[in-house]
This record gives sequence, structure tokens and C-alpha cells, in this order.
Amino acid sequence: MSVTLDHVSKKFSHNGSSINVLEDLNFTIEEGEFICLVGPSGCGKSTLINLIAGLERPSAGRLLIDGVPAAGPGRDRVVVFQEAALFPWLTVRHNVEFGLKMLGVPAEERQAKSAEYLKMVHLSRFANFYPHQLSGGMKQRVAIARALAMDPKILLMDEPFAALDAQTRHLLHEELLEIWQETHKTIFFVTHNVREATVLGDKVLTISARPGRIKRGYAIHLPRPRRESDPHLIVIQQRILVGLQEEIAKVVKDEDMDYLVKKSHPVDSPDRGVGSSL
Amino acid sequence: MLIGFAGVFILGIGAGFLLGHYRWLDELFGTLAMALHAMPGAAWVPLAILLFGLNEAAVIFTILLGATGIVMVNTSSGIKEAPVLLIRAARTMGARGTQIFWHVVVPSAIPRIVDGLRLAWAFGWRALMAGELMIGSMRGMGEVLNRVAKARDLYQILAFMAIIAVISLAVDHFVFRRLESFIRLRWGTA
Ligand SMILES: Nc1ncnc2c1ncn2[C@@H]1O[C@H](COP(=O)(O)OP(=O)(O)O)[C@@H](O)[C@H]1O
Ligand SMILES: [Mg+2]
Repeated sequence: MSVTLDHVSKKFSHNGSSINVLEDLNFTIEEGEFICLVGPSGCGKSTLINLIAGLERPSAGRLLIDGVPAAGPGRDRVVVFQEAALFPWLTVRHNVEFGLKMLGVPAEERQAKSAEYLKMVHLSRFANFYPHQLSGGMKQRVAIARALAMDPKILLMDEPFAALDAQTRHLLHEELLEIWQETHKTIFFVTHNVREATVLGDKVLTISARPGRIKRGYAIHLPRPRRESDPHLIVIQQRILVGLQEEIAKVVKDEDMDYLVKKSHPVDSPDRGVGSSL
Repeated sequence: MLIGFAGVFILGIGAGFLLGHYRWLDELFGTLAMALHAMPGAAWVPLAILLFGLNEAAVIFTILLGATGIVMVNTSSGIKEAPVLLIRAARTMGARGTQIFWHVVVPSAIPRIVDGLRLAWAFGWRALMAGELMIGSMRGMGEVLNRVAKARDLYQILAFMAIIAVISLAVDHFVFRRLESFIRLRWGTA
């Protein structure tokens, strides 16, 4: 399945004034690709994921799935959110089976599926746990298993590992790559972390801030698994960072202005900048 | 009492679902629900007597109006506060309208609903006392209450009060505390 954005823009209106969050996006995600999109926090990455997922509608332009305009959300495009978004009242297993249950899949088949995907994310032993009994990394694994159980054509990942510590994130990168190689899913992965993007993607797209436009694409042909410290990778990371530097400055400046106006929390997210996680 | 509480349960949760789900209903009746919830149960006794006379029906009416409001308000706010993120997650997995309501919105509101029921128990119990005392139905608690009151015997009055407190606490402890700890276990919330 391919996803094409054809002159897609998204505006939000805020009591009278409107902000152009995304402006004139044109790109295609080809079947089987692993694309990472990097940009500073607040540049519209989640908005873009929601557009592709069909949770939001573009203000202008079209979203094409295999050349056909998309109407609303579909099981072919499942999202893994940053906050895992598991249902706290369901066990791990029932979380994974949720979508299948909504589809009316019989219980035995559901159970077989959830067992299969929980095994894939190494959580078979935790099938009967509740989400609050799991660590952050385990929750994200459940969210990935839950998405895979829907057998989507494309996996949309919205900074799924941003809240995890470095070791856990590294482990999950490896697992995600294994899953990708095993299932041949198309993956669209959004992050503010340049290193993460270069370790994972075939292609890294950078997005500018206010308005969000695709700035550049970088193809990464290095074999996997990649080491974050691989000199070739560091060269690419540096090029991406330099390209993004002005965007980060733009966001920080905007937020400082917001701060002066609202006198709100001076720092609400320590790692909002793209570069700080390097 | 049981009939009254069952009524509170059904009416309160039902109305709460409706108010929580349909915004126009909430705009129409939301303030009414708040007013109902703010009114002390005993305040309904005169109206109950007027409508039903001095009997059980009047007592049930008093309990119903004294305790339904809190269940309604809690249920509807639980419904309204269902996390958007969970609803979105369900939508990307193909869940639609009624499925989302029953499988996402309602379960996420359950801790609030149980909170409401627990408060309703306390409110309903008070409304029951007020109702029984003033209406004094032939059999049951009203009779005992009036007898105790007329006897002017301090020990009888204190004993009666102790019994009331024990029953109230016992239900709170054995029903609601258990329900709450179960919920804490399941939902991982306080
Ligand atoms: N529903 C919405 N209504 C109004 N503004 C929104 C809404 N969603 C996002 N925005 C704005 O769009 C911008 C981009 O948000 P988002 O897509 O969450 O960025 P990112 O995921 O890159 O951090 C932000 O400035 C945010 O305030
Ligand atoms: Mg985001």
C-alpha cells in the first residue's frame, strides 16, 4: 500500500485567529518503506500522523491511499502513540485483542493472534497483567503488538519511544527493526530525535516549523543493525542537524514569546529541541 | 430502601449516560441535575407526603430524589472526561460510534460512577432517615424511630444511633471499599 500526500495543508483556528500548522505537503510513502520524519516539537508531526490516520481531515489537498482518496480512519493505518494509549481496564492480552473484538473476530482466533503478537514483542509472560503493572517500554511493546494484531498495511508511529530511557529505547529499536524485517510492514515513524531517525529509517524527511513543510529528504543506505556511533551515520546526523538548526531556533523563539505573554511554565519539556537528545 | 437504591442506580446512571453523551441534553438539563444534586434529601419530604401520602412510596421518592443527582452528575462527568487519546486509539482500530461508547467511554467512566454510587449511598441513607422519621410509615424503621423518640430513653436513642452508624459503615466497608480496591487494581487509579 502506498500513501500519497497531495498538496496537503492543515490549519487550526484558535478563537478567531488561525495557524497554518502544515503547509503544502507532497510526498509518497511507498509499500515496505521505513520512513522517519524529524522535526522539533510543535512543528506538526502529530497532526500529520493524525491526518494520515484519518483522525483529522486536511484543510486543503488530498490524502490518497493507493491512489484513492481516504475517508476517515481505517484498520489499514494503525497508530502507535507516544503515551501507548492502552485501555487500563483491560489485560495486556485483551488490549491486543481489542480491535479484533470490534471486528467480530471469534474468541479463539483472537487469542491465537494476541499470543502470536505478544510473542513477537517478547511479552508472552505478561498476557494477564494490567497496563499499570508494566514499565514504559513494556507498554509500548503492547501498543505495537496491538497495532500489529490489526494487520495494518502501514504502521504510523508518533514518537513512540520518546518517553523511554536510552537503553530501553535502544532495545526497542532493535525489536522494531526485527518486526519490520519479519512482517514487511510499511512504517512511518515520527520523532524529534535525529539519532533515532537515522538508526531506523531508509529515508529521513525533515520538516520545518510554522508552517510545517517538508524541508529535505535523506536516503540512508547503511546496512542494519546500525550503530548510533557509526561515523557514516554521524556525518548524516550532522547534516540533518545543521538543516534543522534554524527550525529549532524558530520554535524556541516563538515559545519564549509565548512565555512573555502568558507567563506560564518557562520549561515544560526538557527535550523539546531536536539537538538536545544528541 | 433497596427499591430506592436500585432506582437511584438505574435512573442516575441512565440519565448520566444521556447527559454525558448528548451535549444538547446536558445544556438543557445539566443545571437541573446540579440543582438536584445540591438539594438535601430531607427537603423532598414535604413534596413526597403531598404526592404519595404517608407511606413507603413517599420514602422511596425521597431516597430517589435525594441520591440520584450525585450519581447523575458523577456519571455524566465521567463520560465527558473519557480520554480523547483512548477514543482515537479505538478509532484507528476500526471501532465506531456505539462500540466506542460501550467499550471505551463507559469503562473509562466506571471509577467516577462508583464514586457517585458510594456518595449516593451516604446521601440516600440520610434521605431515608429523614423520610422515615417524618413520614413514619407503619412498619419498619419509621415505626421504630418514632417509638424510640417517644420513649425519651437516652440509652434506646443512643443504641438506635449506633445501629444506624454500624449499618451505614458496614455497607460502605463491605460493598464500596471492596469495589474501590477492585477498581484501583484494574484501572490503576486511586
Ligand atoms: N486540535 C488542535 N487545535 C488547535 N491547535 C492545534 C491542535 N492540534 C495541534 N495544534 C497546534 O498545532 C501545532 C503542532 O502540534 P503537533 O502536531 O502536536 O506538533 P508535534 O507533534 O510536532 O509536537 C502546535 O502549535 C499545536 O498548538
Ligand atoms: Mg507530537
